[in-house]
Amino acid sequence: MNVSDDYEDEMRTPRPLDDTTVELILTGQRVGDDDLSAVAAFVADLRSAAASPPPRPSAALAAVLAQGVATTDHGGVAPTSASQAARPGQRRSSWAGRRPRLMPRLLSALTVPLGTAGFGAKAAFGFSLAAASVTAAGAAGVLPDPLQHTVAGVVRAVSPFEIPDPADHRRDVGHRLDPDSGDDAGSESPLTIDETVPPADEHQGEPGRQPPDSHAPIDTSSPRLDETDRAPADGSVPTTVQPRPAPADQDPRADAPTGAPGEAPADQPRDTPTTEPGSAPAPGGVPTSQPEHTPSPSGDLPAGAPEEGSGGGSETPPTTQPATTSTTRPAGIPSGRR
Amino acid sequence: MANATEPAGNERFTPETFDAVLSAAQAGAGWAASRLYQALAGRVAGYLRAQGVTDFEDATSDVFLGVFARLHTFSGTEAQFRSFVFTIAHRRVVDHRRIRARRPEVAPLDAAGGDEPSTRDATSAENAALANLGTERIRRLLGELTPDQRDVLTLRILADLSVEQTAAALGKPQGAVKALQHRALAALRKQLTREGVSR
Repeated sequence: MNVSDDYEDEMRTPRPLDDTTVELILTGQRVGDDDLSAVAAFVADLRSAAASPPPRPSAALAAVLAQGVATTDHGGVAPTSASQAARPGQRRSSWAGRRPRLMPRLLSALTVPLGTAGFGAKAAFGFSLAAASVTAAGAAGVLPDPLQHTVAGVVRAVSPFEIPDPADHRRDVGHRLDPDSGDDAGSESPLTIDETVPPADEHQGEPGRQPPDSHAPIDTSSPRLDETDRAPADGSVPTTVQPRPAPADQDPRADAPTGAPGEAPADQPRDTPTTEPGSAPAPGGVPTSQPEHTPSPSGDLPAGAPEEGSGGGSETPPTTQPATTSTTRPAGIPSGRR
Repeated sequence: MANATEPAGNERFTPETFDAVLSAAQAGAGWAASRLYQALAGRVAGYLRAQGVTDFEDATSDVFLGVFARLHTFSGTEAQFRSFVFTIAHRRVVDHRRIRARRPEVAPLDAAGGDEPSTRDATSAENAALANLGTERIRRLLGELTPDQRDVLTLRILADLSVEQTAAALGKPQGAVKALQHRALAALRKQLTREGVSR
């Protein structure tokens, strides 16, 4: 009997757990010590318990396994809580048929910065949107006249561009009289236009001349009035205005004699009005200045005159003044043409 | 289903095979997603069960739904993919602990819902008890550990994660992981010695 062996057994101390021993145990390798072997056995049992067949997948997972992972899905399904585990029918199936939602993400990407911006930034953004909208509407000529005029003035002031201006149109329209139109437009009547109508030959072809104030009364007593331009006996009012340098887009109806829209007097020289640089023709092709013409049945259009119906097309033809007011009309204003 | 020549749920990929399967799964191939599921679902279920998650089957499905939702963000080896999966599984365990802390669960009587054998059928209960004896012992011994020690041990053993991967999954420093695994094994050894259980 070996006394030392007994003492050795009683005084056996557990082998310290160093990193190497720990790694041997955790990786399932043999350690050779009794107490540590028990631990190693436990680790092996634990690993064996995990080596079980895969559990049956839920309905949502089964759909994923059958159809594959959605390649465009970057969201992910929130795992159900333990309390919902007994109700697989209520499990969300966010995989089947999911489609990328680019628009919401885009909108959220655009609005999130705005949402986090300060009040000033939001106000500036809103104002910019409003200004852009008004300018676009003004360029299309669909704003109310006062607003259209204001927007046109602003655009003209800050940019080289021109947008339709009802004030310009009224100036031009004032020289056309249409007895058949209902536009008697009070102060916009051509008869009330205060125009210093020059003689017929003074401004022929004169480029760039600005039309006079459309609201100035017309001096019908001017010696420049031509007898032939007075109102004919039938009461129709000539719409031709005394000569002014007409722009290239002048409306031929302004020169037309009796009842013939688009006609220009044949015996009057045709002007080649030039459009002032930077100025846009008034909508409807209303000329800002008119050459002196006498009515002519030929139907020839003055050179540079816009085609009927050109331009903005939103302007109504000028009204034709009644014969009783012909005395106040400027010289050369022919009667209505329609 | 799992290959008959391999332990179920323990499919091992070669590096080339794993890359091909991963790429196919990311491209939307259902068969590839199934391969990945079959390879790791058993381990994940065992991990969840060892952590005391009673509805481990649904929890396993939740884990893999989360894995596939983030699959497009992953790139790496099989070992890294395993770490990726068990990181998600660990979060599921943490959620389960929070829920259980707020609302204690009533252990189901049915043996299928837990490891407790049913007493209504003696034969099935005895069989279930025998079948779960090892599992019950494991769960009892693991119950002697602290949650952190149990997390480290199960991830290192069931998931085959390294110290670095375990630290990343748990969000702890590597030194802390080493200290925890030391203490866990020391506690197990003490418990096993006390019980006198040996192989």
